[in-house]
Amino acid sequence: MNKLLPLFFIAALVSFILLLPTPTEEQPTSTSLRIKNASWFDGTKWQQSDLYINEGVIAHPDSAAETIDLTGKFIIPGLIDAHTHIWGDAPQQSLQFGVTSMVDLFSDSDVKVFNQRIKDIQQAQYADIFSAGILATSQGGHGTQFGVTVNTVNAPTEAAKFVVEQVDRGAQFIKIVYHHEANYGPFTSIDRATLQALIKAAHAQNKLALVHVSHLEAAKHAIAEGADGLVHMISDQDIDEEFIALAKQKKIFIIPTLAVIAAMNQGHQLTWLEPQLRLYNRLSEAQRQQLTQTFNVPFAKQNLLAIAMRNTQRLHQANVPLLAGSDAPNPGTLIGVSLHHELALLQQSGLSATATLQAATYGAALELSLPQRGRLHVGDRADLIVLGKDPATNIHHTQSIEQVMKNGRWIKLQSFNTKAPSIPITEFPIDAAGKVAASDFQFIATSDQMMSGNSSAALTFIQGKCAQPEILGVQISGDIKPGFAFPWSGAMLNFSRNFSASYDLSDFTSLSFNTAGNVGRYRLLIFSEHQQQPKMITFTVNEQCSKQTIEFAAHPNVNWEAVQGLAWVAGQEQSQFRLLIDTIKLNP
Amino acid sequence: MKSATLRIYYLEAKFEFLKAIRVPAFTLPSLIFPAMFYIFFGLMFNSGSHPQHAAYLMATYAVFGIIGPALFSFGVGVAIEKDQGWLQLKQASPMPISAYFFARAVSAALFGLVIVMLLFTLGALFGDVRFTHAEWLLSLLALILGSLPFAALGLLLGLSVKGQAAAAVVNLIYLPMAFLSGLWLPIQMLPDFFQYFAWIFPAFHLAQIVLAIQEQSLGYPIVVHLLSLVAMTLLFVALAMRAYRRA
Amino acid sequence: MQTPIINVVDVTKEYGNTTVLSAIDFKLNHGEVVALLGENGAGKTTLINTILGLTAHSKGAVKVFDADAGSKTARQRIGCVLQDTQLPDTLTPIEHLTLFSSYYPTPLPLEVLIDLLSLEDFAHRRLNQLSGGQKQRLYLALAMCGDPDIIFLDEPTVGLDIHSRKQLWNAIKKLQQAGKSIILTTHYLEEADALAERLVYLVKGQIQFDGAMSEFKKQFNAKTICAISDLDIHEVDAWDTVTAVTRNQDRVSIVTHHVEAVLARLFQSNVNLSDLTVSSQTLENIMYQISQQNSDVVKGVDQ
Repeated sequence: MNKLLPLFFIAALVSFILLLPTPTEEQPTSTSLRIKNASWFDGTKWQQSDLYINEGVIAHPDSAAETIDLTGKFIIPGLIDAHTHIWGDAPQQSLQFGVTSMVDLFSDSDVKVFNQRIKDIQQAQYADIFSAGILATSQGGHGTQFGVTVNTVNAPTEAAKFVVEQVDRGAQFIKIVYHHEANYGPFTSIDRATLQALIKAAHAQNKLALVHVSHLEAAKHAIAEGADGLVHMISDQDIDEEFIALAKQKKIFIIPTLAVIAAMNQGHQLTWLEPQLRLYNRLSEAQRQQLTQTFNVPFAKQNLLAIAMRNTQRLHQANVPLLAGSDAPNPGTLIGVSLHHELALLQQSGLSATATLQAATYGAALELSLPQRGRLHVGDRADLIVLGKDPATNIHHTQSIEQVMKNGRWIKLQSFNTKAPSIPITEFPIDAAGKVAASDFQFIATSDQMMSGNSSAALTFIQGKCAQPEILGVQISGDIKPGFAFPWSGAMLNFSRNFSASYDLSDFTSLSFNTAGNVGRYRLLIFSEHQQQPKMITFTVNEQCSKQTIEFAAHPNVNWEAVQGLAWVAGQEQSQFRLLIDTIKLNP
Repeated sequence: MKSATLRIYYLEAKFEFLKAIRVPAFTLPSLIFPAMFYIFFGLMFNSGSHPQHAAYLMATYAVFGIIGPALFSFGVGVAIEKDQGWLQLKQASPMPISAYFFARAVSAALFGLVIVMLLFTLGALFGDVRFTHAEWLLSLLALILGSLPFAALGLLLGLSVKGQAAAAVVNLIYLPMAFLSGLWLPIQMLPDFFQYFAWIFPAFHLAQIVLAIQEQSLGYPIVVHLLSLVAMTLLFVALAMRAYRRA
Repeated sequence: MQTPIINVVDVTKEYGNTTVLSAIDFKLNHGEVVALLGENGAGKTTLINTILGLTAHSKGAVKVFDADAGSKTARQRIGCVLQDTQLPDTLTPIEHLTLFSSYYPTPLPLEVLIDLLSLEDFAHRRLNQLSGGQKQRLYLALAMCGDPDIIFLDEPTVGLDIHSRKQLWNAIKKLQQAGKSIILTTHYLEEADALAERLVYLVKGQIQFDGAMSEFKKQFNAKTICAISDLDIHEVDAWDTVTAVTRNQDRVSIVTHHVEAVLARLFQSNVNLSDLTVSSQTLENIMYQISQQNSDVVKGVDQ
């Protein structure tokens, strides 16, 4: 007994130390998981057996796995939206609605970042983005009207260079805008020879050529020149047998994007959004309003949707592969949400519920060569959705989302339907005076001088070293001096004067910002309503730019629902320091 | 060491500890006071102040807490047992007298450990104090080892004063030293003069070492505080040895 | 002559200008029981502390079993009950004995100790519940627990009632029978008489008598003749048979070993005598007497 006593003593002490809380920086861990008693759709057919997940992928049965019982629930692969445009926080927001992979058919996003994330099986904050980068269009063609710098392609000779450029940027596909006439409404178009050259160049780079057309004649040209897929359904007229035969012969696929075509019709309704299902209640009134907005296309016909749906039905009957895509975030559509609308429209066009599901899962993955996506076979990514109602009986039941898993990790689902004022901005563009555009937010210097300490701080707003060009960051020059018990110096972002207003940040999952400056530990202070002291989160800064992400879920002691301001400060451990903060962003 | 000698050390420590816990009226206050003070000044009347307040005062009240048993066990305990002839009887016996001091140091460290664990628990649960495991462990070790200088100071007092006067003398040193070393209020809140004056107190140096682990010290190099503590300890031990020979 | 187990040679101890022990020579042989007598402040405790190695001496040498006083060898073979010792109140006799026994290489078994000193009734009670006699027996047990060769008892019975004192005497006698050498300090001649064969008498740091108890009694077994008289004390003091004469107003005290002879001579000399009494010496009287002698050490018979 006496010999065991010291051991017991040491064990008790070690357990005590291990029980003491540590700063929360760790990611939610992915463990081996067994899901039992759920019906699950593997991408092509329904199964009843246990589903195993390990290390972010679907796994072989493992007796050591932690079991969860999902009796009465339905599991489908994470949805693939085959036609989107990625802006801002789309990759985070789409996860909230079960869309775990998206095809970006034109944006000026940094495609290489997306490509990195696709490989990262640890991350569970973003949907995977497979991007086409910049689209190929003519000078004055469709795609040039959005203010994004587009290198146009005006002759067949420019095609190869353009394609190589896109591939170098990381593009996974080549998207081409084509019309069979020189002009379409206000837009011009590349000619057929250029179309041909672009498709050839894409194939030479082993990339799929995805062609934007809206007219039957244009579609026939595209297929004849070797296009791999059309990214919209033909909506100018009913398709003919010649087109169907051509499509079958050339084995093309079509992404009908009925959701965006619906928005081009006046007075489109929210009849597809089921109020009794969970998705409806998670949307804010403003979001639901957004979904009823109409696309003003004066040169388009009034019955586009009816034509497109009839064409969809005939192509489906002819076994031409159809892929679900929403073309969000065009007017009348929402990232993530509108794919459920697309599924409803596909079902309405005559696809069975299972065929519709396939169009948004394995069917899309297969046609677009998205590896490990859209299917739940061993080795595939553990991207999945848990539904409360059976989508095989009615595709609207995809709106009964209860849980979403990305790379083996459960996503925290948020309600956007909140009464507290939501923060009006997700990014914080700063002007040279430290004011944040489109808000009352203001950056000010803060130090312990207000507590009769001796530290000091000064702010300048300069081109952020870690930000994209023309984006200003906050440069803090501070000096920590003894005087007050807890000296501090830094920059404060007040959401209002005198903390009179607070905003709900709980709809976001994290706050990120870039930092560079004197090496060391710094603190983010979060001032919230009903919390007399600011809460403190430490982060480490390097000389080089580094991105800091503060996961809200990891800091449940912060009242994220009513935040009054943020401060980035240095403390005791610094003396004279410089710290740059830029690209402050709230992430859904 | 031979096992017979080890057994002496073990039994001395065991009975020293038993002696202490059998006088709860004396022991409990020394265990509870630091925690109570911390609850009042570190947790309850802390609203509106800085979030690091709770962690800062957790460290300084822990220093306050570990000093108590060390000073009292040696200062008062030794003084009384010296007056009662118990110490002399041990000196006349063949025991190594170091075992007696070792036992008191262990007993004081055990009480100190309980106090520190209590404070850590309070800080973690109610003060939102978050450290890495390494920081928690380092703080704990620094505090427990940090009781040694006060054991030496206590020993010097215990051998120098009469048993009846010992408690008064120890309190006369303990409480002002705690305040002036910034254990009750952060040292920065005291006038400048006291921030320099505090350098003469071992409690100030120990507090700075423990605060340095959470990066809340005044910023002087740790080694300066360590050397100060070692020097003070050696001085106390030397003076205590002189007093011991005279006793 | 056997080798002394304690050998104190010419030991002097000074505190500043005060001489506490002066040129002490003292030997203890195996199996001896020595009573160390003296007034308060005579140096008894200092002498014992010197032999125990608790107090350093200024001059001379102290050896215990040929080892230095205070050395581990010496301490292992000595057990002691010190004056006015109080043990921590919150432990029990068993716990104290367990701890103390661990100090010695060959301790007596606890049962033997408990039996020897009749501790069983209170062995598991905390010390604050014990009587003075019970505590004193525990102290004796602590002195005994290492099975020492020499036992020091510094005023072991002071403050005890008659009953407890007798019990303790019996315990000490048992030790004596077990062949232990004992050094005992006491105020009580009666106690010394009951326990010791040899007596050492200290006055002001010097040994005034060191010899057999019987010799001591013989030398100091004087009587006092008291009477109201106008006799010339100087004349009487000159008599061979008279040890000392003092006058207090009209009352005269004559100390003598030869009462009958002195009385006869007094009657013969025709002096006025009234209210005549003859009484035995008290220890106090003896001490007074010895201190008055202010002479060289009275030598006892070497044993």
